[in-house]
Amino acid sequence: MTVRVRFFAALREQVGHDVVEVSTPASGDIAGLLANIREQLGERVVAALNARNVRVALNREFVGNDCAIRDGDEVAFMPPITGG
Amino acid sequence: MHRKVSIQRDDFDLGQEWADLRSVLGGRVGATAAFCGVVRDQHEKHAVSNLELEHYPGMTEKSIESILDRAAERWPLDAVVVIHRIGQLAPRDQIVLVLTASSHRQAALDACTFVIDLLKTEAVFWKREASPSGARWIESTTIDHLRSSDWRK
Repeated sequence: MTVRVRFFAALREQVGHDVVEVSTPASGDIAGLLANIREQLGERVVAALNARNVRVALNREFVGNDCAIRDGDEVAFMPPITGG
Repeated sequence: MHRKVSIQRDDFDLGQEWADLRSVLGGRVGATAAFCGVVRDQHEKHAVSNLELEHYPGMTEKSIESILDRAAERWPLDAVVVIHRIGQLAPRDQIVLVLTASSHRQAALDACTFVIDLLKTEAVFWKREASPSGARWIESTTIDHLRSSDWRK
C-alpha cells in the first residue's frame, strides 16, 4: 500500500521534500512506516523525524508511533508549532 | 454560539470584524473583548525584517476549532471569532485577531485570554523569522507553555 507523507517547516528543509509517496506493507503502523522511509530516504531523514520534539499526525489528527495506518492515509511529521 | 475561524493571507479590518460581530449578537450580550497581535520589529534582541507563516490546511482549522470547543465549555460565550494570517508579514502588520462576546465582561475577557494563550501552543502554524543575520524557525516560548498549562489547572 502507499501512504502520503508530508513534512513541514524546518523538517521540510532538512528532508528536502514537502511530500513523498511511501510504499509500506499492508498492515503496519507509524513505526513501520519509519523503516520504509529509512529505505527510501535514508538514515539522515529518519534521524530528523525521530527527534524528541517532532509530532506526528495521521489524517490531520495527532497520533503516537503505534497508530495503525491504511492505504491512502496521509501522515505528517511536524516540528514544534507556534501560532498567535 | 456564533463562530468564525478564518486563515487568510489578506489583512483584516478590526472595525469591520467588530461591526459584523455586533450585527449577529442578541440583546443579552453585555461584553465583547478583543485581542489583536501585531508583528514586532525585534525578537530576543534580534531585528526582524519579516515573518513568514506556514500552516497545514485542514489540520490548522481543526486545531483552532478544538481550542474554541474548550472555550465554549468553560465560559457562557455567545460568539468567538479567530482570524489568523499566513504568508509573508512585515513588522507592524496585524497577525491574529480574537474576538469574544458574552453576557458578562469577565467571561469575555477570560475566554479571549484563553484562546490566544492556547493559539500559541496548540494552533498548527510555523513561523520563520528573517533578520539581517539570517532566517530561523521560531518556537513557542517557555512562558507560552506555562500560560497554556495554567489553564489546565
